[in-house]
Amino acid sequence: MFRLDAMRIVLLVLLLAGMQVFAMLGGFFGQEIVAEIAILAILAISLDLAAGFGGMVSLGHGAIMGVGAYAYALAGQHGLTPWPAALTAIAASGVTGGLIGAVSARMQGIFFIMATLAFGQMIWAFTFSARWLGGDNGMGGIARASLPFSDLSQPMAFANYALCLLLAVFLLAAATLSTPFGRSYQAVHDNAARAAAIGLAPRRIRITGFAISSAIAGVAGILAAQHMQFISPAMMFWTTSGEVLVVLILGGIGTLTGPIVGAAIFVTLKYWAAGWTDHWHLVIGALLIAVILAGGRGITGEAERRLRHAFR
Amino acid sequence: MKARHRPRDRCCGRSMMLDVIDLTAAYGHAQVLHGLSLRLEAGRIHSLLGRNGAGKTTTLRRIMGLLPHQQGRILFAGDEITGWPTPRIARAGIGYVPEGREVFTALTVRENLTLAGRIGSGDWTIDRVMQQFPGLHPRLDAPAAVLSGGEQQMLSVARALMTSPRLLLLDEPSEGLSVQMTAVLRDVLVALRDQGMTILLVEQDVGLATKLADDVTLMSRGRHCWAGTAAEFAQAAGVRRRYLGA
Repeated sequence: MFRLDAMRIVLLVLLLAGMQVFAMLGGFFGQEIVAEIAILAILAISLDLAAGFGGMVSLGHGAIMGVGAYAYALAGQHGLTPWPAALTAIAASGVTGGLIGAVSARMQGIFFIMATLAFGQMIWAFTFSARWLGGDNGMGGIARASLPFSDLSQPMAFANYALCLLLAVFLLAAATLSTPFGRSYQAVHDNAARAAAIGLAPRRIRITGFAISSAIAGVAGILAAQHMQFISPAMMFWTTSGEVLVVLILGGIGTLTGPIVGAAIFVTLKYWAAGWTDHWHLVIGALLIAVILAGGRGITGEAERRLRHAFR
Repeated sequence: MKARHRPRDRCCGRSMMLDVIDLTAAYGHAQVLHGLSLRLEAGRIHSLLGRNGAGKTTTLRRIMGLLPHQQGRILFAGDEITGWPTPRIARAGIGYVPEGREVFTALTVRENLTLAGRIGSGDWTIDRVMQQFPGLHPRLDAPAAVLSGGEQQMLSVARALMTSPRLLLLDEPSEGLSVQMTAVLRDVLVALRDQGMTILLVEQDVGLATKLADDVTLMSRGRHCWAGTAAEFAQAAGVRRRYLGA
C-alpha cells in the first residue's frame, strides 16, 4: 500500500534537485538527457500505477503513450494551441486505456500481458500503415508548449519544464493512491474476492485504474512529442513497453520513486556505456538480473527496506 | 423463554432471511454441492455443521457469489439473488467473514473499516463497531499486518459489519483463537443476534456452534441431511453420532 513517507519525499527532492544540477552543469547534452529521463520516468510511473499497484502488467503502454503523442500532433495540425491539444491528447490516451482495460480487466497474469501486447501491436500496425498519420515516416513540425515566463525552445527551459511535469505527475499519482478510490484499487489487487465481498466492484475499479494510468502515459507521449518535435510509429512498438517494464523493475515496482531512479539509471547508462560498447543492453541486463536475484524489490525498494531496518 | 428454545414455526408468519433451494456448486470438474437446501429465519443464529469436506465453506462462497452459478436458487429477504455478482450481493446486505481472516494487511485497521463502510446503509460506523470490539480501538491506526491472529479475526468480523449487513456469514471464526478471544466472539455474535441480525455460522467446534445456535442444519457430502432447532439437535443423539461422530 502506497504511503508518501519522509523517506520517499527526501528521495524525490534529491532526485529532482540532482537532475536540475546535472542539466545546469551538463550543457546541451545534459539538458537533453534530463528531458529524456523525465519522459521515461513519467511513463514508468504510469506503468507503476497499473502494474505495481494494480497488478496489471502491461506491454501496451508504449502504444498508449503513442496515442497521446499522435493525438497531440493531430490536434496541433487542426489548429489547436498546445495546452488544449495536450488536454485532448490526455483524454485520448485515457479513453484508449479504458477500452483496453474494459476488454482485458477480467484476465489475470500472462493473459492480461498478452492482451495488452496484442492491443499495443494493433495500434502500432494501424499507425504504421495509416497515410494520414504519416505512416512509417511519422509526423513532424510539432509545437512545444508556450509559457508566459519561459521560452521552451531553450533546452534548459525545456528540461526544467519536463522536471516540473514529472513532479506534477508524481504528486498526482501519489494523491490518487491515497484517495478512497486508490485504497480500493490497491485492496482489489491485494485480494479481489475479499474486496468484492465488501461491495467493491473489482472489474470497474481495475478499468478505472488502467484508464488513469493510461492518461498519465499520454502525458509522457505529449512531452516526448514536444521534446523531439517529431514522432514516428517506432515509439508505439512493443519494445518501448518492454523497456519501460525493465526501468520499473530496475528502479523498484510499487514505490513511485523507483520509476524515477530506474529511468535515470537507464538513460545515463545508455549514453555512458554506449560510448565504449555497442552492447550497452548487456550492462542493463546484468543489472536487471542482479536486482531480481536480490529479491526483485528494485534499487529503491531494496534501499528502503535496508534503511527501515537500520532505523528500527 | 430464550430465543433458542422457541418452537420452530417455519410456515406461519416468521420471515425468512435466506432461502437456498437445491443449490449445486463445483470447483472445475469437482462437484462439491449436490442440491443443498437451507432456510434461515430472520434474527436467529443458524449453525451449519458437517464433517470436513461436506461442503460448508463452499456453501458460504456460493451464497456470496464467489463461485460460478450452476443450478438452484438463492432468495435473500424475498429477493431472488441467484447469479448476482459478489459486490451486488454484498450491497444487498450480506456480510461475509471468510476462513483465514483475509484482512487487507497493507492497510491500517481504520482503512480496512472505512473501505468496507463505503457501502451499506451506514448503520454501522467505526464508533459503533468499536463498541463491539473495544480491544481493537487502540489499534485503529496500526497496519493490520501487525495485529495478532485474534485481533485480525475481530477486524475481519468488524469489517463485515461495516457493510451494515442484515445477514452475516461466518466461516470458522473461532479457528486458532484463544479461549478468551472465543468468549469475546461469542458475546459479540449473541449481541448482534439480539440487535436483530441473522447469522449463518460454519464452525468446526461443535460445542461452540450448538451452544450459540438457535437452529442447526447438518450437511454431508454436499447435501443437507438434517435440520431442526438447537434443542431438537441436542436430543438427536443418533443424528449427531451418524453425521458428526460425536
